[in-house]
Amino acid sequence: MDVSSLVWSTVAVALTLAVGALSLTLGDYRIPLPLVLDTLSGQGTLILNDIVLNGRLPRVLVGIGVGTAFGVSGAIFQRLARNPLVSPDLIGVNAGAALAAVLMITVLGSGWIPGGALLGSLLAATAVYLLAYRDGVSGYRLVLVGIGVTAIIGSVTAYLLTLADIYTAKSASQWLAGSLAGRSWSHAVLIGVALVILLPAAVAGARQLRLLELGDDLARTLAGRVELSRGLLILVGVALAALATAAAGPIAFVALVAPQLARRLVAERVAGLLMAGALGALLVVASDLVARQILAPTQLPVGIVTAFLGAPYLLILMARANRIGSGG
Amino acid sequence: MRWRAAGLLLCVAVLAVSVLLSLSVGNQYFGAHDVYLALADFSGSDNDRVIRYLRMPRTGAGLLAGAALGLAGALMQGVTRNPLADPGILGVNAGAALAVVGAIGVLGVSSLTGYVWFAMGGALVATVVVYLVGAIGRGGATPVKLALAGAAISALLGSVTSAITLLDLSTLNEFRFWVVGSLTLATGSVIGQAVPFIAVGIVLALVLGRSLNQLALGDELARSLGTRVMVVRVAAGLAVVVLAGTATAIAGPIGFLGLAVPHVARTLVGADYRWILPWSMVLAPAVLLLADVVGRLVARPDELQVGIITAVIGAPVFIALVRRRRLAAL
Amino acid sequence: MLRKSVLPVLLLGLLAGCGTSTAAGPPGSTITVKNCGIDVTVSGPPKRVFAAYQPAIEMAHALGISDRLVGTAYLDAEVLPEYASAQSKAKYYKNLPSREELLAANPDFVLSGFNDVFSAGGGSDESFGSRKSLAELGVQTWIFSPLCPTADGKGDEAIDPASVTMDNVYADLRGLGTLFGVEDRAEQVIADQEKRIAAVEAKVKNAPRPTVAILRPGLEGGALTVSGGPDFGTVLIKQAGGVNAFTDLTSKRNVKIGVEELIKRNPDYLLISGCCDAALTAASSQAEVDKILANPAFQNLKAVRNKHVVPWLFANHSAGVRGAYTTEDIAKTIHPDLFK
Repeated sequence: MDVSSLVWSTVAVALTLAVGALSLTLGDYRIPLPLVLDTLSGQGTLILNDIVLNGRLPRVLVGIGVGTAFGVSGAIFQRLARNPLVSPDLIGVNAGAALAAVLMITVLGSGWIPGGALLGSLLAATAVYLLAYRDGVSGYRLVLVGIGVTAIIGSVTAYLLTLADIYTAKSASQWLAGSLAGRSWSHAVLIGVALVILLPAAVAGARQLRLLELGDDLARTLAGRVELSRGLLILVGVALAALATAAAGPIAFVALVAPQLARRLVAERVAGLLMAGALGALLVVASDLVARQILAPTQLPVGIVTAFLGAPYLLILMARANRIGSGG
Repeated sequence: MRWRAAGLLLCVAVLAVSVLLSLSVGNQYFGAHDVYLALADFSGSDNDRVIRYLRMPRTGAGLLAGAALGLAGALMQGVTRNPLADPGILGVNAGAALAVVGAIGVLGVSSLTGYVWFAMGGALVATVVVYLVGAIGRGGATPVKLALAGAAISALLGSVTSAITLLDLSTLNEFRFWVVGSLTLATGSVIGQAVPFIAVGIVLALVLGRSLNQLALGDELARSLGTRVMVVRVAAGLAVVVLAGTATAIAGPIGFLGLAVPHVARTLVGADYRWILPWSMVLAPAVLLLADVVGRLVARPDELQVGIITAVIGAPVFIALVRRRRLAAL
Repeated sequence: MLRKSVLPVLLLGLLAGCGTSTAAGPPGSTITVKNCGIDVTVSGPPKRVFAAYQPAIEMAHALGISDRLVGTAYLDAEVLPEYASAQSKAKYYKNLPSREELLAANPDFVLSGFNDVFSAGGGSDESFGSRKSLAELGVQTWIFSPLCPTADGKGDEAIDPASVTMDNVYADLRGLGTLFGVEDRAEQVIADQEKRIAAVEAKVKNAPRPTVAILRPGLEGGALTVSGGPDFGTVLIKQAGGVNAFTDLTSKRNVKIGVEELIKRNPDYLLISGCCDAALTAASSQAEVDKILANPAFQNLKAVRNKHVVPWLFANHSAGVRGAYTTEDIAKTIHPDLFK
């Protein structure tokens, strides 16, 4: 890791922590900073413990976790497809999770949503992968099949929303928009464990793929191993996006935007992967703070804010990517 | 030539059968005679009213929206030389949907009559943006670039749409039924208002058949044959917006019909747009009406909206295309 | 005018009465009442009550604990006239507050007329969190028994249809009366409800039973949403001497049907249940009624021919102290001759 990477990632992590700390002090229940610190050091009242330790803290941690996961997952896919527009959202992961979650909210009315969402996204991603498989998997076929599968799943999801009563439809819509509301320690643990296992795998996979690709002649003889590394990286990318979606719903555009920003700050690819994670975390935590405060006491799902931040950037990105000829 | 015309007649016959089915099948079954009486000798009985005021409007909506989406899909595929072009995939529906939600939620428009213009405006803006973004750079608007741009812009528009619906419960309530796509949204009078729009779109589309054939040879060759490429593109774009926008306004965003039917037509009649266009125009409403009839029967006493059926039968066609064809094939 | 000035005086009298009759037990003793399988324990009558949804707000007023309300949230319609004055003094939240906002009001008791606020599943901004998690903070909770979910943290889809009865409303009144130290008031409310409902039932005993459909306003994508068998409306219509036209649809409380199904069933009366604003009245649904009356497809419906399409309220068919009022209201509509 070179010096500039180190500086930028330190800045990103520091900013994330600062915004996270700020999030702990802001909310509908006013708690002065000293009291927040007391509570963090274990001297809070029952209610303060509940609000800070069981409410705001896990929410911030889930935000950091899913932001990191989306960022890294996005970086993996953009790296493999060599296209800035290819993101895990497009290959069925979100749609599958969404269908499962809406099914649980509206029809079954029960169950641990992250579990169902995880199952749904893995099933959908597997279906997309199998449908796209034809003597190997090309990045584009994967994405295009993903668009098709997403459309089928999306129409079933929309139908389920029409069956529910309006309150249930609203909480399902909120989940669909991507939200950190009401996230507890179980969600934080889920995404935390996922990162502990998958981040090293992502880094190792990316490093190995890079080594393999460096020597052209060598790589040709090692074509099988390149395919294998690619397959493993896809698996890690899907798992990261699926687990993040399971914990917080499909938060839009983080996986698209974070790796792009990272690439502009850090040239080296493996470091860029981690940088994308750091920026994803910052993006989600900061957006959630905005989402909670901008219309308070009405709260917006964080996904709406990331969409509004990410969308214009995406447009510029698409135009630029196509102009330099990397858009396909 | 002759067999294509005969085939087209056969398609018309299939369409006629699906119209009859749409009028007679539903919660209750009515024979052809009942249907005839309801139309020719309206007595005001329960049966007559169901046929005349419920099934006729939805059949009308199916005819118009189906013809419009079939043509719009064929036009888009022709003008972009893109086998994956479809109003749903290229973001046109998402644009119309956002405009409709904005109309309901922000401006308080509550009649379907009011939606039409918004839907068309939204469709226009989305089409132009997707095309512009997709066309920048090397190779122009390649199928993959357009599909990606369409998916990305659909996602973007979808986020804005969900922001509006989440802030206002009654908008969410209206929107969630509209967004599935259904032939029962529009009343008879709205369908009446849609007729002139669709008619203009149909005429414009059918006139363009020959030019599209020349466009298929590539811009250079087309130009040398005397086709004014830009004029054809703009005219086709206009027709797409009018057709897809109006169809979305009367039936909500119905996906994949505009994608799948022109491909079926192309497989049957070859790569001649003078035939692909009319075949698509006749086959698409037949498919849409049959899908609607199926939807009435599978979930009684509720009905499955037609948009779900078309997605479930249409999206596999899309996936098969992605798997089989070389994407630059058109 | 007269009514407006008299009511507060009456209510004040009631409240004063309650105040004196609240016999606090010996210091340190606790009272425990079971609600939806959960023990609700208080060491004295709760003093800071948060009431969520119409039925809970109205029940709090009926029990005479209006002065203990620290917040009320999410009315479906105007409260009944007898509670209007008390409600005007209560703090009102248009949307359900978040858990933090709820705790900021510092309640010691949350009374909910709908189970979704305690639903942990959706991760919604408007969930208070599960009842257990609130109890750990010293906030006791109560869900209306006709809406008991099968387990804490579950929502509307997990209601046992067999629990949707007027007896369960009475059980709630008794339980809350005990907890709040207003047993006498609770018994009065129950007696009043029973008496009024019995009077209606006696009157309609030998009358024919018309079929009644409760319809959500609006053709939602060309479909309709009606109250099915498990809805409390079925009980109320029965008490009023009618039959819910969709009793046999038992999969859910709110059932979606095609328009043709309504024509096939051809109910005698259509009640159009408008919803969800604190200022809403039955008359607000008149536009929807006019639409149905003018729809050519519906001209042969008995309800349309006889102008028996009635602007109505969603609030009316929620389980709660509206039971007697709604029973009378439906009975007057469907048996006009018996209630002149």
